[in-house]
Amino acid sequence: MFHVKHKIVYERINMANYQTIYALSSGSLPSAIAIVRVSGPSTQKALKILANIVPENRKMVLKEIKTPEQGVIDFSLICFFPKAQSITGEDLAEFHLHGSVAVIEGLFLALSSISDLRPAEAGEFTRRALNNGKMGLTEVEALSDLIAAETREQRKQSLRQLSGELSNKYEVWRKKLIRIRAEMEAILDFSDEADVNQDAENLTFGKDITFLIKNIEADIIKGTAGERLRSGIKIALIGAPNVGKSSLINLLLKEDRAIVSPEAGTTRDTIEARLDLEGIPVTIFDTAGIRKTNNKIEEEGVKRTKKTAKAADIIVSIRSPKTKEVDVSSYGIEEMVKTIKVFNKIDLKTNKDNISSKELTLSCKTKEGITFLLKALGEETKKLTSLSDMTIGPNRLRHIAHLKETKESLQLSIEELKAGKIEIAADFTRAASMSLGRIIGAVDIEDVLDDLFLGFCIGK
Amino acid sequence: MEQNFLKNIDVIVIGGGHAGCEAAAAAARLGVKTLLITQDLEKIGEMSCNPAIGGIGKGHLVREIDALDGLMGRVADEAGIQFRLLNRSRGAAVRGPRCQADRKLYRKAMQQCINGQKGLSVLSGTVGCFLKNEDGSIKGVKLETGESIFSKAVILTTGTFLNGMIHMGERTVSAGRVDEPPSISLANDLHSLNLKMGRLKTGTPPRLDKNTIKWESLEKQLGDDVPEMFSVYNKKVKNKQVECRITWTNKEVHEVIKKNIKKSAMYSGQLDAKGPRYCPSIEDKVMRFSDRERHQIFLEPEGLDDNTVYPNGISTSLPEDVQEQIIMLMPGLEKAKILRPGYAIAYDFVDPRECSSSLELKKVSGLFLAGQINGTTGYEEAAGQGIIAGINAAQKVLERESLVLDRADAYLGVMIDDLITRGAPEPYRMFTSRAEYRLWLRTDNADQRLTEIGRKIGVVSDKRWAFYKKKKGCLLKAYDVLKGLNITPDQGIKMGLNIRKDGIRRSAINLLAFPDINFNKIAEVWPELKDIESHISSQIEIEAQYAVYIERQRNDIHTYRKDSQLKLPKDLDYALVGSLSNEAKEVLGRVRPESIAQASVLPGITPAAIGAVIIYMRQKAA
Repeated sequence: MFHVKHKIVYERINMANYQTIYALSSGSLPSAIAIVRVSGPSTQKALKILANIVPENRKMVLKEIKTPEQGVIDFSLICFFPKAQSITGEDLAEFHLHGSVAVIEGLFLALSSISDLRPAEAGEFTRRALNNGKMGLTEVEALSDLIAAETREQRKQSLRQLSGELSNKYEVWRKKLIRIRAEMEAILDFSDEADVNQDAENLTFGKDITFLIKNIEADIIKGTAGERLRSGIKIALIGAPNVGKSSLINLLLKEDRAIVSPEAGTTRDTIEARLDLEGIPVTIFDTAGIRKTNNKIEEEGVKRTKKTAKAADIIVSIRSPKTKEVDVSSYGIEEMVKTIKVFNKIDLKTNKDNISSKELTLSCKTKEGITFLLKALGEETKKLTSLSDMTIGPNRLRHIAHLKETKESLQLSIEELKAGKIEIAADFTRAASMSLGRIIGAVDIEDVLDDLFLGFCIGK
Repeated sequence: MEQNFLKNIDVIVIGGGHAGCEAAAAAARLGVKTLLITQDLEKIGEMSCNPAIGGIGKGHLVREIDALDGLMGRVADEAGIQFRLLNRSRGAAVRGPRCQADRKLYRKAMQQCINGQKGLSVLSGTVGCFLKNEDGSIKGVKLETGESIFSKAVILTTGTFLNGMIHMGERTVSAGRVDEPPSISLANDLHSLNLKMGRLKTGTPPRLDKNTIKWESLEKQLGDDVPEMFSVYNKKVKNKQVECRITWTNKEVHEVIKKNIKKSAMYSGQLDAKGPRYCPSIEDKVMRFSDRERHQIFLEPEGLDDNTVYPNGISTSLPEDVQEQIIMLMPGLEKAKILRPGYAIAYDFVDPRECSSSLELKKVSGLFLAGQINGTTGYEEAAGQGIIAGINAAQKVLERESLVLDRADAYLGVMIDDLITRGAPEPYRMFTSRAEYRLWLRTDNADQRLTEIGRKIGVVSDKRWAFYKKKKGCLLKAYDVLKGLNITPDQGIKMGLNIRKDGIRRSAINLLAFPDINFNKIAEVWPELKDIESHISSQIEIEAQYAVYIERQRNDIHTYRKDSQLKLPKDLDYALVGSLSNEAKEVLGRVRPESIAQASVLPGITPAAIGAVIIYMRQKAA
């Protein structure tokens, strides 16, 4: 219906729309069973994605809950309530799961990756039920206690998280965001002022937004450290055919005594090996080299390679003297993912001038350099699961969801800035500060104006 | 004769400024008998400060006033001597129409509107106090001459006159404007109503004699080639258009100011009222932004047959002789004569949180406040409150529900909501950044947002309604035509349109959503579109470009409106609300929000707190 770009924008916008919410609705974990509720217009979508079905209204069915990334999360009783017959007055789903932390976090992770779903704020289900006139008095009285408990919990939580380092970091972000908005609004509201630079391209807020996005991205990654610790680290080996990926796998398996299982697939499939690095479970995936092909089987292999690479926490890109450095972007790997570059077959007597200083040299044949590679891998693995980082990063999934929303809005803002549409960019920046505000405290228009009048000499 | 027209008054408006005029005219348009009382009938519609109307945000307010058939837009068009659309290069949502107005023509046009309004009388007089019923509600006013005039509602729009005090260097004069007495006994009466009040200040620059300025030597600022009018009543400019000139302060000027800073009323400490940060005095600019080497001064003519020039950007409370020194140091002003020195004025205002969203005082039934008395600055802000207070005073007399515009309806709604929930810690001015739904609240669709609402309550005349219906009809017709036209990518590309070859047929409306396709371009594809009038086609263009973003705001608006419908009683005792934190109790008890929507944006109020309040209300209702 819209211009292609607009259509993308439109879909992404919906994510920031705070429409469909989810939360653990039963008591604290672990427990025999746990109930997760999802409420809002995208409930049916969520059911289809996770359980591959929207069950008959108000009939419980047993289904496998799974995602391509995580595989099977749990077997769950699921139930769908259409909005006319639900407690919130919106489409509502209940997932009755095994009450383990890992299961619930798995489901939350899956839910948070569906666009326009987000974790509920404390008391939000009740709000919606009340708004839609769906609650009787006795229910309301019981809920009132629940809300009180939630509030206490929320306060404790935020106090814990907003101490020391974390709050300092967030305060920097908050100030940056206020500054960005002040500069944008100055251009819009005070364009007739001599003190306001009208040349939007020369302003720093584009850079400031990029800074914020980078920092938020880093935090999102840190935020998943706990999750990684439980599920293990995924390392993908990528590179052209015959650069020595399989040899490296074999070498790693030999070097590591704590081998769990070597599993081999077909030659064109991904091969994986599990080992223990610095006490953390690690899975290493070998991949087929990417090249243009008409071979159906090989084409499937390329598809799998890309999927494996995208899901990896660490990338090891390998080349030999005969090949160029791997073009990581062709694998669709996100920029933030750590890549370790390896130059293999250092034992060959070839020209070594083109080895970059960022590459680790290795010979799978003579084992030269393997210690350094293991050390590098161990360091990255530790970083990704570091407990000290977990206390800095927002280990709550709710925070991560808000950070993701913020990032999305800021990215849209940059796009609009590039198109010269400052008033629309400002709108997305405002949305970003609303999302971030849920973690760092609201950014009010008065904060923006304070900054604006401090920085610009406005007024005639 | 005079005795007769003072009988059976429904609404009394005190003050003949921008708020008072709109209030009186709006009440009268609703058919209630209205009396405007002001000290000097000749000063009705006076522009006390700068000779300009509109601007970014302010222009939005003027268009909205016009959409409710108010006066300001029409009068500004009559008096306009230079029209400029600000932010022309930016998106439509932030464009603001502005004009330089001839002060005399403005007064004349405003007085014509007031005198020509059926059901509205004017009386020259000074109100001494309010007349109250036993229950404390208002039943009229008593003039200083001792005469009583009874009414069902009173609207107070006294601007800077409440305990007004002019400061110029060390000199202070008790006054509402230069040479006009302040309202002291009325201020005392207001103080007795047990309202939270405060003091604000504002300033004005010295006025210069144009004949003594080297006018031609200075940089010109011209109006637009194609002027944009404020009101639908007017299609063309009525007066000769003039240019403004620009000069700058310099290091020498700044030196003089720094040397004499202790003599400035605002810096000597004799004036402790809070002034607006966006309208600082030249002293403030020089002291606070000492790194700036110069500040821009706009020289704005006050009228066609008037040699007074308003130097915009140099408001000051320095003594007269220092003002003279400063002026003479600026390029082009070396020999300029000061006709009237600049000054600062401090005045009483009522904390607008004392008002409900109808602008009636919560504590005093029948008394409405509008304009600077509520802590705002600016003609447009005053007029905007005036029209709403006028409508609501009349609605009260007619025993009908008051008109409350919300933050998604209009800038008028944003302003009043801000005032009644946040108060006015500094003089309040409209900015587009205050409007959450800025992409929707535009000057081009002000009438589509408000005229139907206004017509329903009866404040929009037949003539204004006819203009609106015609525009609406043209828009609908044009949309019908556009929806029926579609094109394949191949055809489009052949016609020079930059679209993707994806085989999807696109309608003319969809095409307009493309950033680089405007109406002229699609009119090349379908020549029949050339018949559509330009103001219609430009609005369609704007709507298509913003469609996707407005769709998103619509969801937000839906949530906001739902929360607005959940009203909170004025006397709700938050201490009794279970499971509410002390912080939330304190905030809610202090602010006393009118609705859940207002409550939910307050600092420290969580969704859980909102839930608890709703639950409490349910329990109480049961």
